[in-house]
Amino acid sequence: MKNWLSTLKTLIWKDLLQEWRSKDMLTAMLAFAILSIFIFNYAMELDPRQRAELAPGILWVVITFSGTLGLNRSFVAEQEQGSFDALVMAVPGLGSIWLAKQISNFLMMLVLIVIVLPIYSLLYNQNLFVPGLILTLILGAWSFSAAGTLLASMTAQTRMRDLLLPVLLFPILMPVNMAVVKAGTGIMSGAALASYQVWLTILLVYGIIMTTISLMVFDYVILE
Amino acid sequence: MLSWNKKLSFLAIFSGALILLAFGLVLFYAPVEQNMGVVQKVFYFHVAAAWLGMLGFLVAAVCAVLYLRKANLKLDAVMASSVEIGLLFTAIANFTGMIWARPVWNTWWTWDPRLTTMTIMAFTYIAYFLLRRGIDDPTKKARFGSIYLIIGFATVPLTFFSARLLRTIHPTIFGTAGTGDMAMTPAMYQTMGFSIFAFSVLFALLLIVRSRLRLNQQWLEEQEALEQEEEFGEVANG
Amino acid sequence: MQIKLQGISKAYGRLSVLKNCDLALESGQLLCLLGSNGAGKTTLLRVVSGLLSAEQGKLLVDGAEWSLKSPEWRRKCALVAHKTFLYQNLSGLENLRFFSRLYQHDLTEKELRDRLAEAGLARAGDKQVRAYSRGMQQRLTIARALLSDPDVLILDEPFTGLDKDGSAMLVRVLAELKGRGGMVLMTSHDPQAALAVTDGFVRLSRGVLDEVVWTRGRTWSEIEPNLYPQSTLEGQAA
Repeated sequence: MKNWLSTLKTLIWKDLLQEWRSKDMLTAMLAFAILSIFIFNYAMELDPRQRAELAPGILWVVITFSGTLGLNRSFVAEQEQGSFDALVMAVPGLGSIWLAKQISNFLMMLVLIVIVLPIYSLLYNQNLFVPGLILTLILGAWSFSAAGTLLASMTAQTRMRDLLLPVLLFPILMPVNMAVVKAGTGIMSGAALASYQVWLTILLVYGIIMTTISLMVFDYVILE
Repeated sequence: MLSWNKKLSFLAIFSGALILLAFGLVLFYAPVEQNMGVVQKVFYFHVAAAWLGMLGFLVAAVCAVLYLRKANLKLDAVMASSVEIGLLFTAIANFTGMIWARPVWNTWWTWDPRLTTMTIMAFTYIAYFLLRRGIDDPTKKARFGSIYLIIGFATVPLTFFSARLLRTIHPTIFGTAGTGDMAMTPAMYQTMGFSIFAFSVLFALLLIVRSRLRLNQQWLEEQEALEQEEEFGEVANG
Repeated sequence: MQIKLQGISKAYGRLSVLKNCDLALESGQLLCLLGSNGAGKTTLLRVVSGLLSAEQGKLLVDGAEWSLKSPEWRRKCALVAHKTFLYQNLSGLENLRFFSRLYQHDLTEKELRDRLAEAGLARAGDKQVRAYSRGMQQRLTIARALLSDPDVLILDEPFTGLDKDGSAMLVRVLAELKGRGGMVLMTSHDPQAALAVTDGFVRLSRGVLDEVVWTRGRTWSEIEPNLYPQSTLEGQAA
């Protein structure tokens, strides 16, 4: 058990250090996110109340699209230098390779959210620092990166890589999209918890299912 | 190399006869529905097609799990063919649905949960083929395809549940959809049941023929690789 | 320690890449696989290291049967292949530290630096790997493989990209590993480069392994006829 945890820590630290040096993922994600927020402004000349209701939806769209750009970069190192092989030979439980990637990608998504939320609030003159919304986004980010990490580990090994990930990811992600937007809207409009609680449950269930399946199936992704 | 044989001919004729019979029942046996008129008859094929869409996915998902347990490229041929046929019938279901919806509800599209789920399933199917396209190695193609199918299949229940929940919160302006609207007589149920049966036999026929075609393609590709090895003594990725 | 591989067969459909290969290695031994491109050398190495599954084949370690796919076996091996397995944005030292932790060996900073010095990379240790030349990366890759003190070192054309000093370093490293009781399986395009350190050559042609030709202190001109019986030029063999 101790070994397993230390392996996980080593792998996560490697990913974070790589990202810190190259800033590949963050650059891709942030550039897109900030640009999109500007563009949406021109699409949405609405009164403040309507804007408040639309905010979670737009925010989530921005986060998923940016997140996909980031996910595309997450397996580049392993793919180009063949490190999958080295990791496979060193790590007994291959699921921990997936879990470490998932956690690093999840942390990237959190960084994205932490940066995007204030910018959005500032530009749209809206307070988005509502605990419920933040919780929803965090749950959504975990589910997003769970599905995304598994699929990215596959698309990294195909010819079309970056183009393929969104195509594979978005149909799978539908329940998460619906849940985040519905729960977010409910929270921002001040509705009672009971009206949107089921969506949070859906997010939780999706996260658990996707994490479990990924752990079971990852062996088949990297072993031939 | 697999080629056409007597058993397939029999299945083809049987299937064709069933479909003709289904057509006949729909046109002459089933009564015209009170509220919607003749256009309602599209419904018999619409439901059958939708059923095949789901059947295709189900068969493919089962093959996917079996493939991961024991890699067998024959399973891959069946899997891909099943998805292909399922995709075709999902498109037919959506199309016939739109033909029906326009005169009845005065709209081409609703966010009905079943329609939404089936459309998302169709996107998953298409993504499956794009994934296969991006991989050259046949075993990897089969393996990754299987993994994607399993993930896709696992999310379908949640997608359906979410889509249905969405609708109860924002009810559509056009009233509740589904068979509840129609006054169904026993004759209609019989026609529907027969139609589904006939289409299922058609599915089996198409699946067998398409799988055999894929297996033949595999055989040809292997033949080329074998000949290359004969000539050059080299194998790609050796 | 003694390992025996028996009956290794790998096929892609009808295309056989490895046909019933037998290989035996003992502690302190180095075997060099020779063969043209596409003969199956890389495939065999990947099967031995547990990265690729074979249709048939047994692994015996000191008489006891092990699974080639087991994590325990993979841990005993270390692989040096065409790709470097290195993280370009980390320094040489950080790469070594990462792999050392992954192997649960946890070498200290000093020990890691010593390993870098042995590979001739003492001064470059703190620079990012993306700044290294091909030869330097190859040296680091070899140092990385040795971190886990593997029982079996598997190398795929390790002399590629190494200059005279680098080749000398590799020969020294391999000799030391053999002296410590490790065993080595490697492939090479250039048998004469490997002559200094190999105990025997074995040819792989069209998936079939020939008999081992032991070197036993003989010169190349003595060994060559045994290795290539019909002609020294492959092309004239027809």
